[in-house]
Amino acid sequence: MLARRDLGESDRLVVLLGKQMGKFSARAPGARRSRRRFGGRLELFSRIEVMAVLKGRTGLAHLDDAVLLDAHQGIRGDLIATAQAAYLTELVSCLLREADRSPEVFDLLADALQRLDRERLGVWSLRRFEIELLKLIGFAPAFDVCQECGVRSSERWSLQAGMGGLLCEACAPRSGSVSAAAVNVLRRIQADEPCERVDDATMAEVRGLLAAMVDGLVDRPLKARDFLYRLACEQDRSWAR
Amino acid sequence: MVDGDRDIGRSGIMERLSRLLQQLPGVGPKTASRLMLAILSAPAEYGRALSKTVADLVDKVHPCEICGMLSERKRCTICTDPRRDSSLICVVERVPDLLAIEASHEYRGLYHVLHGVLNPLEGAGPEQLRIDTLVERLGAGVREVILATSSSVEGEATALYLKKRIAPLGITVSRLAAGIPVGGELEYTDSSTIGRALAGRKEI
Ligand SMILES: [Zn+2]
Ligand SMILES: [Zn+2]
Repeated sequence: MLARRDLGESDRLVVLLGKQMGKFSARAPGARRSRRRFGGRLELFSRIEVMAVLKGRTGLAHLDDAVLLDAHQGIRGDLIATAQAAYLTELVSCLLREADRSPEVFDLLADALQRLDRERLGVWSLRRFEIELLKLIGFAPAFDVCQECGVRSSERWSLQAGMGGLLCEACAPRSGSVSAAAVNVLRRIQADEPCERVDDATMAEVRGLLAAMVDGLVDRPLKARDFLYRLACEQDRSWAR
Repeated sequence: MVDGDRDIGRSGIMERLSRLLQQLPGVGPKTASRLMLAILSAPAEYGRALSKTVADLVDKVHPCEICGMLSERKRCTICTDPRRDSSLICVVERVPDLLAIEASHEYRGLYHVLHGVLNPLEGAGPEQLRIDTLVERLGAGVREVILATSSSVEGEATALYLKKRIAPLGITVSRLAAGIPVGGELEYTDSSTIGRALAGRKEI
């Protein structure tokens, strides 16, 4: 379950991600008003099994029944974990188009929520999630070489116009806003080779770069990302890197 | 859409009122025309009194400066009632939740209405809620804060946040007992369930 909002007085609109179905929206009749109808089964981050009936005229499916498989109580008991889950969920929801079928994206999110149910994710895992997701939806970023000349090392780099990769100092002499240290970290994350210690400034640079790449693909600002960041700053600095 | 709508469309005033009414919860085009026709067929005094009262409502009813409950005075009747237990503050998301708890007749403390809930997916953070005004209230005399936010993800996140803000002040923080369904809204919960949830509240 990716998102939900009230629909009129008594219904809810839910956005679900199915392993086979992809992302789809459905109306849950009576979910707001009646306790018996869906109970607490239509909750954010929950893993559920649903019976949906496709309504011809509006094209919006109607949920008939929902069975709760995993409510992820562990996430709900921790504020930062909740904010992280909201962020990852929003990321998937925004980057995936309706009816895009991707079992891999489903698994990526399901695994992340499973982990979040036990513990908060470190910044490394969050960044890895972003890179993996970009790859799975067909926007695999290229951090290995300059997209123009193929050179591997440079003092400064810049984000390519289409933002799918990087340009070296020689190919984009004016801009060059990305440090070599950040590019190195991006390569390590992509290869899933943890580095020993990365300073906060570099990690923040990496976070900003990936955020810019995501922003180039979505049509509205990500609200949960902002929420997570502000909350993390307020509660516990180490989560805001 | 009903067929009558096209006729309504010919009259500027009627169409305007119909549109205004339809912004209310649960009012569609049909109900809007029914309400409008009922106003028109009642004595003219009724319509005038209705419009005057709606204007008064908007001009004179505001959130109570202490708890956020709607009131005609600066401070609401609950906050100014000397018989209420001022050592207890029950925090709710919205005014209807407060009314639901009041209707249970099981609670004699004070309230604090947040006017919302932490909502990461909507980007609604703590600064959008009346949390600072709550913390300011927690001076001398407050013994316990009961968090009656809903058991949805958003309601629980709000409770966790409040607990973190309030606990360092040395005040007991409790949460309504089970009975309110997960994801349930107080507004739609019956009085006896609310009473039991209040009585069985647990310290968190
Ligand atoms: Zn180059
Ligand atoms: Zn008051």
